[in-house]
Amino acid sequence: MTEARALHMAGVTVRLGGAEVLSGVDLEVVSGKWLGVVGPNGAGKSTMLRSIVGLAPLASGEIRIANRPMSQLSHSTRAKEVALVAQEPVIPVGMSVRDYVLLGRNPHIPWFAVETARDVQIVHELIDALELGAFAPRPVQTLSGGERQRAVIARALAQEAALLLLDEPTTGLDIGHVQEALELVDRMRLERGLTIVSAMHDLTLASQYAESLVMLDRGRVVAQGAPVDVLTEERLSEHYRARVHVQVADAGAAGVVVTPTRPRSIPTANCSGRS
Amino acid sequence: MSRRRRILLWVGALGTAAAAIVLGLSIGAVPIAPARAVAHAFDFMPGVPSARLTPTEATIIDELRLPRVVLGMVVGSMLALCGCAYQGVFRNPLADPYLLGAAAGAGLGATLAIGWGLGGAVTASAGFFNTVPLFAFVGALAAVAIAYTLGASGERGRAPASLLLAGVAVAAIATAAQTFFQQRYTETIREVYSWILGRLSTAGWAEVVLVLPYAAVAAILILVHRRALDVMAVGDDEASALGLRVDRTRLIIVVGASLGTAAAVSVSGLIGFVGIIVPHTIRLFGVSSYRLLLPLSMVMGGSFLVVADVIARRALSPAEIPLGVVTALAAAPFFLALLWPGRERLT
Repeated sequence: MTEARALHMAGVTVRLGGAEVLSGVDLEVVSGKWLGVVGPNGAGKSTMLRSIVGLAPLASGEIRIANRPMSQLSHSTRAKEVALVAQEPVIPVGMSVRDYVLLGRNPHIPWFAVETARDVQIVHELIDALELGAFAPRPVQTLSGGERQRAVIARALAQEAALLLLDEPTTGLDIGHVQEALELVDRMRLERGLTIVSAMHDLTLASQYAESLVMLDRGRVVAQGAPVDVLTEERLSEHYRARVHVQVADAGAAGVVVTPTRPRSIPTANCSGRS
Repeated sequence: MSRRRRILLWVGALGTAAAAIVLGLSIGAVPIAPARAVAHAFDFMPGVPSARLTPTEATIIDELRLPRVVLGMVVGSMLALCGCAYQGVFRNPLADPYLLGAAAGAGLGATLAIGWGLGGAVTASAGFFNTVPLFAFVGALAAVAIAYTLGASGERGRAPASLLLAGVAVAAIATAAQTFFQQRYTETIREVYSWILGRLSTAGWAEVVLVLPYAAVAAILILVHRRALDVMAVGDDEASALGLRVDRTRLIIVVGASLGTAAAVSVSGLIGFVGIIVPHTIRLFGVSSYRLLLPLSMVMGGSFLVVADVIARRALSPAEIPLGVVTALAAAPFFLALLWPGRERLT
């Protein structure tokens, strides 16, 4: 028996403002797995995630979500299948954490109706699970970065979608809150059987949390597979133009450690300042 | 927001509305005691002691004050509701019902109708056959339709900004045309000004009947989208990812708000600021969800305009102050107060 595919992209090409931002992207994600999307700035990571929720129209190719063509899903059906945590979420001024998480129930509520007791219960359970209880009545904009990110993740989880997309979910967080947010996502993945696709800048973290990685450069998939196979010094030099040292993590630790390197002194040709 | 607080807000709003109505019915050139005015309203009910109004007093209430109060309620609630809806749909706290050129379009329509002598004297209301409201209504809708057609064709994601710019441009053209025609028909300049500054002095049941169907449609279109307006607060992209068809929802709300604004403008002229101060005052009480903000804005907008109208007709009695002047005089200090320390609460 084949494993269920949560996401399948075949020959996906996206053009924005005349430029090809994604070129023939093929990939698939098995249900319940975590796929990390890496690549230098402008590689098309965000566009790839946006295309999966219909925010970047396809020039060609096909996206299938849970084996159904995305183009045939209505807006609300799609939002029940895929949730997106945006890179820089817009936080409505004055909206309470509770109301904000409730927005995630939107695809489940008919357009003329209001939330049911079940919707409210789901929101309450998420607020408890993500330890947001003390903040529930407070406006989201008054929360700290880490708390706010938990509220944003809670909203996405309220959609009860099996596929969760995270666009740079740790931007602006310190290292402790980065780990807290990623552990939370991983816990939810295991508890709820979610499939995760996350665009990530930090390659070490990407290798620690994602089971497989796909590397994009200029809109194309340039590598795909286990983190140790994708994150090689040669590849990072070629696609990121970065000088790094890649070390496989010690026994008992996950992933690889990617360390930027710098020669102790860079020889300068015309150093005429000193004799 | 706690349930208790919601109930308190509703009690406060409905109490204010009741007080405004009683005030509007009892204050005037012929004062009628509030208790008698209220009792008169329940005269039709068996078992209620009669108010014993004189026939003149009864006529004053039934034919003059009651239609004026009802029209004030309808116009005020429309302006506040539509302003609130525009603020949500464009995520712009300073959006008002005239944002997309409705006021300028209505002004042009009314100026043409008055200038061409189609409506006769504005003050001699002819109800259905008065072409001034009709022209104002058509002018307002035409201006918004042009602004929307030109502005919404912009690239995805830029729609709100380009729509606002198109509204500004259409308003500029309509205002210029209106000024031009106003200069051509100088003999009617007084009438045009009296219309532009807003008034309910011509209010009769005919106006109420004229405006009510459009107001009802507008209110329904906007209120059924109250939850969608909350979703739209997170921006077009995230709202779309939450399953909302953003462009279609925005179009329906803009159509509803434009219809409501056009209906209000057609019978009352241009009454500024109601659409801004009423929703923002309610926001100051900690209301941020459109599910509560929209209906409360309706109730408070209607009450505000009825009270403003009482001031307009009594402050310099027997002369009437233009209603738009009264609402602006109330609004300007309000804005200045907002610009004081608690500015962040404005949005």
